[in-house]
Amino acid sequence: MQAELAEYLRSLGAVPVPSDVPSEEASPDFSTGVTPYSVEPLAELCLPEVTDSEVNLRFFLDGVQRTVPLGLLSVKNLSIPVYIAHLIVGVMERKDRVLTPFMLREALVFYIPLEAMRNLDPSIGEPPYLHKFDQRGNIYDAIRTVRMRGLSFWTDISIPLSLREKRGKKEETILGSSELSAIGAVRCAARTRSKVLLRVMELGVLWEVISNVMLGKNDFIVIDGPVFLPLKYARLANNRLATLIDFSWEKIADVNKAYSFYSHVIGAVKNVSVIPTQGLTLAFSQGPGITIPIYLFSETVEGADDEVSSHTISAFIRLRRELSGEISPIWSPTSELSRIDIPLPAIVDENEPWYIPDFRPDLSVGSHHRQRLEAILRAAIRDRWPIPETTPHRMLTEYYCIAETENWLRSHLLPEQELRSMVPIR
Amino acid sequence: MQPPNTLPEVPPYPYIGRVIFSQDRPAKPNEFWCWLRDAPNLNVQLGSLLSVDGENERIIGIVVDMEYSSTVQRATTEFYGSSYGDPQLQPATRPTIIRLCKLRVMFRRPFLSTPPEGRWGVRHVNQEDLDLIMQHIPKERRILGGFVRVGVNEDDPRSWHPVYLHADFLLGPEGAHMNITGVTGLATKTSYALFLSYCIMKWAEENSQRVAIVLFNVKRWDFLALHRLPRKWEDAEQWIDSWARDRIGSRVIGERVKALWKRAMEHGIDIISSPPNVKYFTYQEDSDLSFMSRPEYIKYGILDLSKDELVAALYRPDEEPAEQQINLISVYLDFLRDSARPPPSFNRMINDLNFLLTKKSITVTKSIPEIGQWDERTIGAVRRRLSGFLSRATHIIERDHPNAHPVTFGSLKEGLNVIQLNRLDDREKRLLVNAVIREISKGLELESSQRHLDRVVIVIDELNKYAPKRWSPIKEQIVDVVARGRDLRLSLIGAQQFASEIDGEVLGNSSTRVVGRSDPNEIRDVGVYGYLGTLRDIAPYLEKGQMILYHPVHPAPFLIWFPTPLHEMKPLTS
Repeated sequence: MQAELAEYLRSLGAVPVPSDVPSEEASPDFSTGVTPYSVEPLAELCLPEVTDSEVNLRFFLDGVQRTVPLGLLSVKNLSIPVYIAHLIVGVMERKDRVLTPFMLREALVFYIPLEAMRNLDPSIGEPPYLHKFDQRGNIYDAIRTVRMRGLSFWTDISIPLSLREKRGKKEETILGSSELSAIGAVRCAARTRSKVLLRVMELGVLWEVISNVMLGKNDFIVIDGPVFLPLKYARLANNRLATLIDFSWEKIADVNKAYSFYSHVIGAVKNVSVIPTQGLTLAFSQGPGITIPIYLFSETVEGADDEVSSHTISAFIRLRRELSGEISPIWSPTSELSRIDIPLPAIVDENEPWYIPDFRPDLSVGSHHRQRLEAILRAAIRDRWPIPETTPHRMLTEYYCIAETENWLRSHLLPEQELRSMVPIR
Repeated sequence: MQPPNTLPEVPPYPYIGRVIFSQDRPAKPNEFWCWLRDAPNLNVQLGSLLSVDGENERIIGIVVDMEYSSTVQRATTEFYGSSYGDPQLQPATRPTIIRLCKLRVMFRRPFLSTPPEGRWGVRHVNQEDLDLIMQHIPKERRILGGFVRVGVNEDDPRSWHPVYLHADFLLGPEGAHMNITGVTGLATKTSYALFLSYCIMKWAEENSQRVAIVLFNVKRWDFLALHRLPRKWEDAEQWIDSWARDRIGSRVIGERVKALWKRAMEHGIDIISSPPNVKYFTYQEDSDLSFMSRPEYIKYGILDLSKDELVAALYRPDEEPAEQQINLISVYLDFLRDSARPPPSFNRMINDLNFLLTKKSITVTKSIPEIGQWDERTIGAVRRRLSGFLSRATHIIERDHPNAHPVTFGSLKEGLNVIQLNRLDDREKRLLVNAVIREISKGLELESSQRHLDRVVIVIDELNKYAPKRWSPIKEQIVDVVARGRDLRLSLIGAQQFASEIDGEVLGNSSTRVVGRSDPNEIRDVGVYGYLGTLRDIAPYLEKGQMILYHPVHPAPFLIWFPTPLHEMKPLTS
């Protein structure tokens, strides 16, 4: 019976996967390519494998965090965890082929589900002497002004920082007193809070670099992840960034500011969750050049830790197709895909209406938009070597400079014991 | 001398790294790891000296290990990461290289036996740091031992800082003797010994010490023509230039040698303005006479030698002579010393042994009653040895007379005394070396008012021939002298290719060790070279003029340089 099944599979063109491929529950790339979305490619570009570009990917931005439980509080016989988080965002600059640290911002933040606890016991006061992060924002400005390394902030993880709600799904949820008994929900809130604060910091650092560095026309900052993802938290970062986006309508509010902000930024997405359902096979072409299908999504599509958005060119690229099959745990072709997010301001002129929903860049051969896009993607291809030694999946999809930035930042994270000892409960 | 307790102010030198505290590389009191900036040409290598600045603390250490790595764990990633194995690829980003070096503590102020207390900055040493390292040697006990490189430009004399040896540990009484190891032709052992001789002479001059340095010229012209020096520095520069151009083929090396000589002259080693006294001892018909100035001719009669010297001459180092033979020689020599008629000589000894062989024992006893009865096989063996020796030892042996013109303690002069061994038969070499050592030790045992020298330094290459590791009667005298050397003020600077072949006691008594370029297999011997630590790894790659110096007053070895002797660079046409 098995022989017949094998024959049946062979008739369908089946080829075996490598023998050391892990089972699905242990797969390192299980979260990639899980969100299909129906969209047609806007264009396809075929660029040489060995190439150069006038575009200079000059800065690389990343963030890391460590969130550790500090202890359990006892309120009305409930055990409630509190946390301390160390959040670091930094930028490395590449000069003469060498990466050097450029900027680093960090914050130590105490997490407590205070409001939910107060519902149980209204007498509980706020943590003393610490600055509070809440919906009022200005979080990045507060972080910037703290010079000493030490616990300086606290935040209530039972109240969302972000007010944004989309399709009935909130980024963060309110943690009620009844949910405090579910410690998993509190833990989830802590993890989410760290992510949100990290994005706030990433946006703030990005803004600081753009504001303070004289960027040439071809100088770009590469951020780790979807390019517009941090923008969702602009309101929380500082007052100047708060006017970038209209939160009620999810559209660009200050066009000029947004243009100057995003004309020098691209995103490098290593965990591609959102997968276009049309035209993606182009990315797997085996020709002499690297074929890159180009998409422009009309709306924000969210996946796990991934997001594609409007006003952004999404270029799907197999950065290291030579390694296909060499890293056996990664057998899914879509897991080899990286995505380069190129905001429209990076390829259009300032006076063009890039911000309107119906705007389509002219990607015909020889057009200005196409030339600019090609220059950016050539730089992206040029940067595919060397490869970072991280996880098998990231070795295929991550940029070395981003991984090095992460290594640099990660080395600044305080050890768990050291974080805990900052607040000696006993 | 008690060093001051305050530290000099740390000048704002740029840091090139920081101390590491990690689980895989924990810091220890005597050694710890540092990381270095990710930049090429940091001028840090094994043997470099680095300074670590703490809060009111300073540690100076020598680099004893280095590792360069990256976050890449597997070689395959390196291959893949270069465009799938394309060596021509120049990636837009130069992958980060993590440079680590291990420092062994050479100096710490204030003295603490704890690891560094913080992630302190690491920088290149400066003159002030090196002064700190050397300050525990009182000025009047300092003998220049070479230079460490502290700057980038080798042709700049300021890039070289002196390393001092403590006179009490080199010349006694605290320690004595130096051993120099390295492969022949590349390790520049005798050149270093000569440079050190100049430095010892300078120290002696400054401290009113009457020192004779005895240099055995074992081969070629190592210690010949020492009197032929340039008359002025400009001539020396010309010599060095033409030597570097014509014989070395490297102008850079020439400039380095000039800088080292300039630095040496700044420290008083000025053999141009004040050339050392040189006296030569050689044998008649030496074909190297043209390299000597007014040599004294030497020859040994049988009564100029001790029993041990004769035994050392008659037997090869790898032989174990029968006890009866040694006894026979001993008894016969004792008899000769009391027997005036006919006069003692080597020829008479041959005749006596022939006589012993041809007569019955009873007759022998009657004619030479003092030596008793001997088995004819013993007599025959000694006779064959003696005949063989006399047939080969034609340069320095007086066969017909009891005494000749040996090197005496009184004939040694303050300064350099070169004793020619080149072209002598190995037996003659052994005889001469042992006889000279015995004479010097006897001379130094006299009351100081009865002798004209306070100290003697003996320099000898191929020490393994005179003090081999295996048991041998020929080394007894040298072993004894070495053991008593520091009390006698007799220092032995011995050199050889392989220290592992030297008698353990002779090597053990050499408190200062120097290693030049060495055979990789030899240097692996931890029992002999363990004191070098990981610096052993660079011993096979040392350049000419570069040595690893271990001196007991310094906690770790130094990587030093010294200038090529000037007499070696005299243009061939001059």
